[in-house]
Amino acid sequence: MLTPLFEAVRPIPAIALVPVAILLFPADEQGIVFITFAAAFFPIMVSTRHAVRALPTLWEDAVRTLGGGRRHVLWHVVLPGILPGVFGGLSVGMGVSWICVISAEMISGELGVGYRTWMSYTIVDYPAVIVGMLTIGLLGWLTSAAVELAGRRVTRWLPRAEEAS
Amino acid sequence: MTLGITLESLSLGYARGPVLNGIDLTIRPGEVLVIVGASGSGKSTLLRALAGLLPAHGGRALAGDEEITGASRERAMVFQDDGLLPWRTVRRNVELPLRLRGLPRGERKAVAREWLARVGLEGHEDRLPRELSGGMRQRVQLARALAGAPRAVLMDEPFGALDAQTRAGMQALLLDVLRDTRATVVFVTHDVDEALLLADRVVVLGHGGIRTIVDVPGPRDPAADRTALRAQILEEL
Repeated sequence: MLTPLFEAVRPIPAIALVPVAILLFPADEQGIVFITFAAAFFPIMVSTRHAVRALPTLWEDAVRTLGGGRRHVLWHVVLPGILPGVFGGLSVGMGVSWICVISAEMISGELGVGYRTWMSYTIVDYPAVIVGMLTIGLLGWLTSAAVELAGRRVTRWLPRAEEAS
Repeated sequence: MTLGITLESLSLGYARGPVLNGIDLTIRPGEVLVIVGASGSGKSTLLRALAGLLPAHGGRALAGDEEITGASRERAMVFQDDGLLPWRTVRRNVELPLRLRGLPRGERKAVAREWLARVGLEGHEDRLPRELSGGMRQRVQLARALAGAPRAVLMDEPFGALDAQTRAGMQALLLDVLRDTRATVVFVTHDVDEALLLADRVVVLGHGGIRTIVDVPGPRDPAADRTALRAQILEEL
């Protein structure tokens, strides 16, 4: 039911929401949270939707013929079965939201590594700009690694490339 | 208690067209009925209808006295393709029908352990399905289906993808297990020799209906000479 609305909103770059975020949240950092949420939401939603559609019906049939109802199919098949897709979306969403949070801090923030990097640029403190960029890279890598690690832990059942070789 | 299944003028099909028309058949409680037929003859379609996974286009199917309108734990199914849930260990897969019935954990574990021992998989309880061979996965499927104490077991070419040696071992295991459970079994295969080994009766499907039904006299012996019955079935295929 919400698909047309989502499909209309999805192509809008999250960073283009900065003016809206400033209007909605003029006084604090909530606007940046809003932009980050908008950036992460759509990759995760699309990836989850594809994961649900790609689930083999065989697993559902198996649970139903063992006595399971719709609730059991949701709990025992759909939720665990979509985790690889959900974590794929989380991985993309984390990358996009990281770009957006830094950009939003640079444009409208008063806190954060993006804000500090931009302020260093405006006062021509290039060593601090380099430190800011390296910090952004390191934090981005750590957050991606955290999602990757969590994803691997909950999808241990997937065949891994090293096992197939 | 085993389950009798009755088909009354049952017609089945998909959106692209009918597959089976006006099937009348009585499956006796406790018998092993094997369905054979060429590819596309409707073997799996019929089995899915018996499982309650496919609605009838016409007529009806009865399990006991009740019309089949949906899936039920009384009619467990063993699939040709791997129907195990890949994120659950072997033991947790076998426990699944008991979990769906709300049995306590201790009881679930005991029943699962018993069935895994019965199919020769002790020591593999904590392995994931992807770590097992095709034959072992089919044994887990069999254990899972029977752990829920169904009154009928529906098997869709369960040994079709196995090599000859593993297949012979699985057939022997199935015969051994069936002796104890006495569940009604409907078994789909395209292998006539397998059908004659396992069946009390063989139903040959073709041209949208039942071509013939062949009674197979016991005992179930792999060495028994069933040349005449084999020829009779092959003639109808």
